[in-house]
Amino acid sequence: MFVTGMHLSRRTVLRGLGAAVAVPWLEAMRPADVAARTTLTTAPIPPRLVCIEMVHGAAGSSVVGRREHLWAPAATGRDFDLTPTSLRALEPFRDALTIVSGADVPSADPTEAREIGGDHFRSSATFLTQSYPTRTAGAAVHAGVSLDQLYAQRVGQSTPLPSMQLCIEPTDQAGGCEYGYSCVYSDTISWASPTRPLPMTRDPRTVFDQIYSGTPTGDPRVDRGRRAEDLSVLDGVREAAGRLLRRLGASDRARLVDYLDTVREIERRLQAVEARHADGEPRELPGAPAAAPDGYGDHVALMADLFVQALRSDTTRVVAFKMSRDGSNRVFPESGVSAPFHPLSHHGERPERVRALAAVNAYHVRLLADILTKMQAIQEGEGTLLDASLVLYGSPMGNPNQHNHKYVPFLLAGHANGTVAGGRHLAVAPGTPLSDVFVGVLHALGVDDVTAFGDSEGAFPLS
Amino acid sequence: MSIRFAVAVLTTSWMATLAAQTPVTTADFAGTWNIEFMSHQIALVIDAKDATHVTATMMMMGRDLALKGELKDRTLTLVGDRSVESSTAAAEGGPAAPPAHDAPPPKPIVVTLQDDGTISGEMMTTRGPGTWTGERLKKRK
Repeated sequence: MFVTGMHLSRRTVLRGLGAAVAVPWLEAMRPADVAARTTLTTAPIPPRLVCIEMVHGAAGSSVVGRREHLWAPAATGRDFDLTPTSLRALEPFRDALTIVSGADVPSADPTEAREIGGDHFRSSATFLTQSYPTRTAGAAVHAGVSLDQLYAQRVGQSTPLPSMQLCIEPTDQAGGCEYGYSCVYSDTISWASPTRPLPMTRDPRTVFDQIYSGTPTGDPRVDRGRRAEDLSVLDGVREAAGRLLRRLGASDRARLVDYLDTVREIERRLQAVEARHADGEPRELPGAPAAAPDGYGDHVALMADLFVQALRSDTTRVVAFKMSRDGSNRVFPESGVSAPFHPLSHHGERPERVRALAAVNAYHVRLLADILTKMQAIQEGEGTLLDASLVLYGSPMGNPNQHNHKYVPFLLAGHANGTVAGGRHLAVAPGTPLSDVFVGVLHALGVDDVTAFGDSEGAFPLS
Repeated sequence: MSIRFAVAVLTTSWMATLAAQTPVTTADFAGTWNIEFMSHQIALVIDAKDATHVTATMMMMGRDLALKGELKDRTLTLVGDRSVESSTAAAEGGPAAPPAHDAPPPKPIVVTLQDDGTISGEMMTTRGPGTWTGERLKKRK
């Protein structure tokens, strides 16, 4: 470690005209002397939380899939084998993995006749709230506070963005969806209160501007001009960055340069996508934002790069990421399967269809592995961003063929600053609600005073 | 064969025989059922009118289908009830349902009560006949 003697605040921001680029963790942010370090005069950042929802359950929750271990491994404990599962791309991260299998999401089950069959229209609302969504097509929506928002209310107030809500598929279907449910129930997974769903952002440009543009100057030539002239947000902070770089030690200089290069690389990708979509040619995704790549994997990667940089710079500590939308008929060619997602999920328990769905699940998990790779590559103190985070990935649906919410796919990655050991497959007792696991998640995040969440019946400890 | 195993076999056999012999009434069918049919879920609400007759409503995709039925042995046979205008889902916040007589089932719907308390049956669709299973809608805890 190279200690220069200077001490930087964790809140250091490079400011310029129409730009505010928060600085990532640097060694200079440690207290300079050992005594200060050991007494932790600089409070550590609480664990970062990333919640990722995938829709349509998993092949491994079907009758055939459970028999063939297409989601959860056969063995519990530490000696699990990911080979037959859709999780095999996570093998490099097995020490950081906590697979929790066998939990149900009963709050998504129908409880009256008119709710039967409407699972796709209430499922997402239950994922992070673990609460029953009231069936209404009007404005009187009601679910519960979501896990990400409960946590953001504890740790997000000292960051520029208390939380980020991101998505890939369109979520602007205002009004009522089918079965008498408001579309907002399938539009978002984040609920600030039981009656306040939060919108999710699909446009990578909007996300970029949220993270880096800072307060608008009020001068439209400046605020709009940078994008129109293909300039970089870094142009506005070049002088401030230069001043800081001159004060840093070698390793911190390398770290900051890498960070700024990454910001610029993301910005270039955004500009390239926008330029490609500016020619008026028909798009694969009509109506999608100009900065959103048409390719599903490209869009996920861009959004992930953005939120990982936001986590790295402590611009936010909480991210909710909705990777699809219930009923999506999107095709994922990279999975090797040509059938659209939703029809494929109604596999009829035919083994070849179940395995095809497992291939799609595996493709989505490969994208998760890419996100974890990015987080693991970022050094923070003695560990990595992944060590300091908890990434939650799952679906509120179990077997999509029956639209049920049993044996739902769910896993955690990361060590939450050391509170989650990882490297384990934990099986809950049959009938355990996923909300019990969420109580365990909250405890792992340091929210010890919460003893109940959603429809929980207890706490499922992760350690 | 151990005595314990023999007792278990005899008990199971006796219970199955008892279940088969227990008379089934329309009250056993009454209630709300979650039907799984061709990878979709359909609500079937059955009201007992007397010991052998029921009225029922099948709900799918916001559309209601009024039915009436008669019980014989352990099997309930449901047919479209043209005397009843369907209730509208719109009244409960859903899309308006067409009148029931717009879409009577092309063939009777046969419902059989199983020993485990579930129901099963057959139903004709535009794609041909299909079998289904149903379980009682669970109450929220």
